[in-house]
Amino acid sequence: MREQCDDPVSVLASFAPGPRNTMRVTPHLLKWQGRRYRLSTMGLYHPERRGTKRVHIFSFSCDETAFRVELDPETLEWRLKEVYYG
Amino acid sequence: MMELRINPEPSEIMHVDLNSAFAMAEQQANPLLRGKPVGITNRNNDFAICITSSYEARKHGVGVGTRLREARLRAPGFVMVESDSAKYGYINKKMRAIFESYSPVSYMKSVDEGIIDFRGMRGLLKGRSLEDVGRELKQRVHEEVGDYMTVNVGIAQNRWLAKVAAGFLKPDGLYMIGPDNLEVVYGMMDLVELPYIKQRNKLRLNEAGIYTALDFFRASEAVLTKQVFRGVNGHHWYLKLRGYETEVEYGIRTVGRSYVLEHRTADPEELATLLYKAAVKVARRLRKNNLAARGLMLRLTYARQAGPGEEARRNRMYGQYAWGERRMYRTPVRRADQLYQRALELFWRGPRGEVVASMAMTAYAVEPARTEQLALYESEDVRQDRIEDAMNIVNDRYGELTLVPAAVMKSKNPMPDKVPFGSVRYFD
Repeated sequence: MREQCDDPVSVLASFAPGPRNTMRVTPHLLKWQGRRYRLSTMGLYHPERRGTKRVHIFSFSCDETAFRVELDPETLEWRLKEVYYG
Repeated sequence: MMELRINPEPSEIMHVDLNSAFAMAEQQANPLLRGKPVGITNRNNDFAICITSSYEARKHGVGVGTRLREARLRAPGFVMVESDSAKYGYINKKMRAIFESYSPVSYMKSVDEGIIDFRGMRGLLKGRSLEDVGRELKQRVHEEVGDYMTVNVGIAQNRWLAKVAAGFLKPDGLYMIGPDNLEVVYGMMDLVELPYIKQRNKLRLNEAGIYTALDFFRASEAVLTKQVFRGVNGHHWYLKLRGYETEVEYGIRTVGRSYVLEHRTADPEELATLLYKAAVKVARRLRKNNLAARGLMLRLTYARQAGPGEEARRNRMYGQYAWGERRMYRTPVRRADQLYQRALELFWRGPRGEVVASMAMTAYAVEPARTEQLALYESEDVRQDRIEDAMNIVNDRYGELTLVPAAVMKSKNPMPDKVPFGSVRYFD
């Protein structure tokens, strides 16, 4: 079941070197509606251009729940946009 | 006539096939979809139709054109996902970067297939075989694109045979075809398993006594040129089967856009506005690549099923009544208003009063835009050209359709970018 939303969330992420001299950002913990979710499987990072902004989108799963969160580069705010229940 | 021998040159063309690209991208992003039957649609609703599907879904007979209801019946646990062009565009960009790191002569042939040409590049490989390079490329796709992503790699002497090779050992395979195993490969294949040989060509080959891939390879040039394909096409097949390159170098041949309408309509005013919107987008792509086009094709698919004798669209809107018209003009154009005028001319030749479900506009017979063409225009045309250039500068900075002609604003249909099949230029 898929649920669309637009909720502010807290994310703990690491910034570390990835392959071929790139930097990799990996979310580890997500806090949403008072609950903490620990990332179990990283899905995909991809950017999306919206006007002048380049929004950063992270998709990952925490056990039986998958999340899609966005990081706004201007406000540095994390927002949860979609939840998928397996 | 003396028979041409198999091309003795080494196999140095690599074809990389991203297995079920869009579906796999969604399974990469959402780990809970991995291993499940997944379909991709441009509009996810109760009437959604698959534009592609995952391997797991295909095993249950769910593929292009399968409706949601039918997919759920055929594949237990089936999940339909709405297409996400930003995601696929990013993956396409990462794939291109990987290819270009191996050879400057590389390109994405379509949204899920790429070519790397290693001819004359042996020095760059530093003693490695192309099979080693293929294995390394597969590993890099895992590391740099996504750990769930798999590709099929085929290596051969020409692009067509490399595509044949990439079709073996799916998913996640690697296979090389060369002069030594070419006939063995043909011996293992049916005619319709060969790329670009579908039912119609198969029947033509059968009429000439050619029933297998090996028969096809052994057929003389005379039979292929005079009996089966008639003319240069037959000659190209004769060469291709023997490992010689016949495909033209990559370049833009068409620029187009297709849209599924969110609000289907038969209102000619709304449809004209949508045509203008499509013309704005096509014009932008032409100008971005410094091209102009002489030909224009318009194709509309309607909301109802085709009746007897009416043309039906065969792919994603299966069985829908469709109409199309194309025309070649003497003058190449690249402005939105010029494309719109031509599109409108074609549009008025089509059926009236029919509810339109999707439209596709394609500019073809493209050529480099020459500045001396502007000198032939009257001053008003030059002024319009400058206005459009200025609009494109704003749209490049703030996003497509930020600044549009007033006529486009009236449209009820948002016409978001959805991914067409085949065209990878879409991601530029």
